[in-house]
Amino acid sequence: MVYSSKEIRKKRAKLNRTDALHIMLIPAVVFTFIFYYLPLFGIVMAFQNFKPLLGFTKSEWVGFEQFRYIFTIPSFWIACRNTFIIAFFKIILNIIVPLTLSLLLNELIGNKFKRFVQTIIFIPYFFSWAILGGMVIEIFSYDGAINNLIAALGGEPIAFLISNAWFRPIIIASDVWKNIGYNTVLFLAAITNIDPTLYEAAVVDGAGRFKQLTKITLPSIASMIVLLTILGLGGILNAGFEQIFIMYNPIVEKTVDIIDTFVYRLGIVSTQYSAAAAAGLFKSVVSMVFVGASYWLAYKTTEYRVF
Amino acid sequence: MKNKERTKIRESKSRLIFNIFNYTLLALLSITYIFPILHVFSLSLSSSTAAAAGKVSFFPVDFSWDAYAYLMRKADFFRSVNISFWRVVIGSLVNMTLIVLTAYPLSRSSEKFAWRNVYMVFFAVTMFIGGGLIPTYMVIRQLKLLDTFWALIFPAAVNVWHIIIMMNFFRGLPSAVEEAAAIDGASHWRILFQIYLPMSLPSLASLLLFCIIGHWNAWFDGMFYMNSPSNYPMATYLATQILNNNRNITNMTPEQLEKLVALHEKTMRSAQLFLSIVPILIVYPFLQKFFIKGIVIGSVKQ
Amino acid sequence: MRRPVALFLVVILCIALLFGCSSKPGSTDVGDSTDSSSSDTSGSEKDDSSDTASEAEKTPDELLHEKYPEPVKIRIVLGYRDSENPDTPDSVTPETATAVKKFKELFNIELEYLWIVNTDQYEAKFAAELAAGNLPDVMMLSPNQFEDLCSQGALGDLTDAYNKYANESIKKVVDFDGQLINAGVRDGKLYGLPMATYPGQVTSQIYYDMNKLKEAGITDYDQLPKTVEEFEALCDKLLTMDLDGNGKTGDPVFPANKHYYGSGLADFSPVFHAYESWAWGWFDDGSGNLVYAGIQPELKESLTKLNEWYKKGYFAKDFAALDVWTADSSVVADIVAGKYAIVLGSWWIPNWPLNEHKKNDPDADWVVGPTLSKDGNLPTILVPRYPVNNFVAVSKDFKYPEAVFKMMNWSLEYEKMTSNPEWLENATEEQILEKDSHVYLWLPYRTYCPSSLIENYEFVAAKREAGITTIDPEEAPNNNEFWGSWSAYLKHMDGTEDAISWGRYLSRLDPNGGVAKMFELYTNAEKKYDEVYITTPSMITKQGEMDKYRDTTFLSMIMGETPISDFDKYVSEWKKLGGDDIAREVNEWYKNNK
Repeated sequence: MVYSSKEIRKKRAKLNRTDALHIMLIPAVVFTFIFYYLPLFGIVMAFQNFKPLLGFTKSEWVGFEQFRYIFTIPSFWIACRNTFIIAFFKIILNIIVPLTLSLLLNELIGNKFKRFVQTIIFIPYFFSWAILGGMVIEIFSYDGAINNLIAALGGEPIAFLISNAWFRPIIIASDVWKNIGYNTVLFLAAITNIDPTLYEAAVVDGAGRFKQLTKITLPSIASMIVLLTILGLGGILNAGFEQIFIMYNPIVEKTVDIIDTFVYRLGIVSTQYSAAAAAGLFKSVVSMVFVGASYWLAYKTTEYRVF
Repeated sequence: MKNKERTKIRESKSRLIFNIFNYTLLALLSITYIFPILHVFSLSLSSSTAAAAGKVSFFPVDFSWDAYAYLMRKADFFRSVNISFWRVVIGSLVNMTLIVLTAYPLSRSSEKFAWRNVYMVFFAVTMFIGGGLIPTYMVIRQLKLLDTFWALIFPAAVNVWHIIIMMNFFRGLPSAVEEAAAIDGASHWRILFQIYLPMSLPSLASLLLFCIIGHWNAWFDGMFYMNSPSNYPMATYLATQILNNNRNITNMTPEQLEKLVALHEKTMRSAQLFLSIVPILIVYPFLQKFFIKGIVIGSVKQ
Repeated sequence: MRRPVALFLVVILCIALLFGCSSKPGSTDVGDSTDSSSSDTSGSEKDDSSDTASEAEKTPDELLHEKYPEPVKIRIVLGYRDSENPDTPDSVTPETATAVKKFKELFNIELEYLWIVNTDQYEAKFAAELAAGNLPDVMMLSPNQFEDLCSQGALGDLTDAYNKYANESIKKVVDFDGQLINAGVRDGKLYGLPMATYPGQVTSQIYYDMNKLKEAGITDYDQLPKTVEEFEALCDKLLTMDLDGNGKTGDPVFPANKHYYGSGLADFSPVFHAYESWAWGWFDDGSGNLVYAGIQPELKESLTKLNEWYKKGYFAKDFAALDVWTADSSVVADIVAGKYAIVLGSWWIPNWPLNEHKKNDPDADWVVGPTLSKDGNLPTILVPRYPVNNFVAVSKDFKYPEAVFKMMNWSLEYEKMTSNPEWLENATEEQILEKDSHVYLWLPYRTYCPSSLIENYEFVAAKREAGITTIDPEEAPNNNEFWGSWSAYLKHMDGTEDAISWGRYLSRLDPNGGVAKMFELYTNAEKKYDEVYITTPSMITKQGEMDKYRDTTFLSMIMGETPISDFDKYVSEWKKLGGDDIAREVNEWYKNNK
């Protein structure tokens, strides 16, 4: 078939018209508007002394009073600190551990065992914290499996679940354990994509395995590591609400209470709606800065565009 | 030449040590993944006394079907599984429809679709800021969605991350494809459904799996938007069973304390946990291939 | 092994709580002081069955049984708990429970559950619904919620309805001592019906197994420790012995758990109380000023002592990890297994878990020991002036506040009727099914009569003294806990006692048992009163944090992680966290309401 350029222009005009595109977007726009934008009006609560029975219109306006108030609550700062610590370790370890694992897997000779490990470690990624949280608590409880093992080895049982020294590492480790499969697969794919001739050349040059690792493998996936780290750090204020909410208890609040659980307790349990809204808004604003910075950095360093 | 051989021998020796170390390590790691599932499974099939005494590790002790037999009679649990099933089916369908419909227009360049960036900002904002739990609750309540099945579907209908993943995939498709279609006089609808989608199957499959798993696992919304435990999806049902353990006793009276007795037992909980992961254990191996492909293509996770 | 525990507790429950009581006349009229013009807001609008003229002449009992001519819808909410009665049919749900059926039948009241969530989600759901501006018609509120809603003007005035409808049975629940009802009065109007327990129940006791203690040379009740020093000597001795026969000495001598104070079982309350120290409560320091018990210097003594004992190994090193209130608690398992000859707890522990131990070891001979003190004299006790746990309130838009009293009265009458052994004997299968389908937990109020423990004890004691084992049902105290107690008494007298009735007898009826000793202490000891039954604004916002801080500090002091010398630091930090604000607020209130 041969078209004249005029005909082509005419046919193409069909694509230049954008009404179809607008129509496609309608459902998502409607849902987003209703379930994200409408609730945004709730932000005014942060500047009020919101009393439910008075409603938004009649509740007293207090300006930044609620922010001043939450800043005086010691456990708010504890929660901030915990959020940073927990999120930081989760982000870093969720890169380092899968990276190490993928390098180890890559060294395996047989394909069967490799595939087996890869399959097994991906399973908990699909479990909700509602399920996993229960399992982790079960296993780490005072008369649970880990303590049985410790006792069998002649040690003293440890009260993991109420220990401020142990509980945070458990939260972080169980998160890494759960998510390990995802990034491992990602790294493994990147490693297998590396041009094999590079390794051949290296072998000819007499480079050992370790040298190959540091000179070829790591540099080849470096940009990916950087990207994942940067994007991860954008989420530094999200330390995993569902996991902590389901696993924590008052005794370990000191070390694992995060902003999200703090806001939940403040707003829902002690019905300080306005103070909770203020804390939530504070978190949103700060995390917006972090996410924005991380996207910008990602674009600057690797030219990766999120949007 | 000689030198090289020596290196080789040395290398193969250290290589052997490394291999032993590597296999052992990975085997141990695998055990940490197999053990919890096996442990829960064994607990669910042990007698409650053995479970309570902490005698169960890898294998059932005092084998007993009691927990499952009891569960069989527990209508609540099965009702919740049923709700979860429909939630997964309908919820994923809604999600996927919206992902495809939204990702396509957003994948147009802003030169060709002037409004593209406006829409993009409109969606992106939702990733940074939210109105919070209570205002969302109020909206859902006003819409009379509270305590309905749709409260589990609609608020979670748009997942911006999934849309972005799909959008990036569409962008990566060769532009020649579109050119050719344009010359054929194809409309946007035809390009999307007859050309783009068939080319995106792995991505669609992995996003579908994400949606399925997401709906199967979501529990917080069920807990919050439902007015009765009989409307809970399975994950919510389980979560409330676990949360039940944290009791605040300081406000209780001696009478309340006196009667407070733990009614749910380890074995029961384990049986529920196990039953709830069975579907995942069954589905996962089949979708795994697609899934891994999809992740690598989608490249950046939620 | 756990089933029997559950079953047994269920039995206690039914006995302890299910039943209300009625008999002795109370006398308070609420709202006398208010001018009548302000108190008739909701009452005037309601369409009652009878005209106002004749209504005035009716007695509460007549009014309470009147049926509404038109259906009246009452919307309630529920934190769901399984029925504790094992006979409850599986098919029964809150919506199909006996009360719902009966209310419709007898009063034309349609009870509607707006929402039902698991108990643990109740607070969250209530908060979310409240934020959306929704209140149920009738609700049970924590003191915090009550205060908060009251201050927002969200609650309806119950004054009129109370004065007109509260009969003696109801007053015995909400005003057992003739003053309790005042706890629900704000600005001269009654906004909440207080649900309470007997104030003496906050005291604590120590139980000894005389059988085991024989080995330690204690053969007579009088040899039991009266002072902390004697107690310590006994514990030291037990440390050198192998009571549980596991071949080891130095095992813990009494159980403990993370709820270190006021948990009623395996806590340290008796030790705190011996030093006249308390972890919480506001009492008058004698100058008209309220001070907080949880920062008084006496605490240093008790904490020092407990720390010493922790180091000596009197209780488990990991006690702060243990929780008596979880499923399969190892603390309880150890008690049941007979690991201890000493258990610290409240009056009710013979009911559970000591009876479980008795089952394993029929030779066990548990007694309530003397109240510990520093010098052998009874220590001063701190008891609540108003022992309120919850309030029953109505929304301000609710037009039928009297319906609350009708429902409560029905529960009281129904529970009274169905607990009578005679009724049970003659009941048809259908009636029994109906009784089993009555789950009091699903109703928005309770019918527990705070004085029933004492009433039953005194009644049985009189019978015992006279050597009488027969009873005319007419003379029985009108609370349904009574019949369970009575049968325990009979079994005790004719020697057919089993572990369960043993526990019930020892806790409730024995002249040296839990209730007897509790009552004795409550009557004879010097008392300080915890005066504060209100919740101040700072309490709502800050109390949670402060309590947490106090508890973690005390636990860490007992375990020696924090030196006791940091107590002053704790006090100043506690004040900074909001203690000063709360102290100011409660004192202001106290001075205005004395």
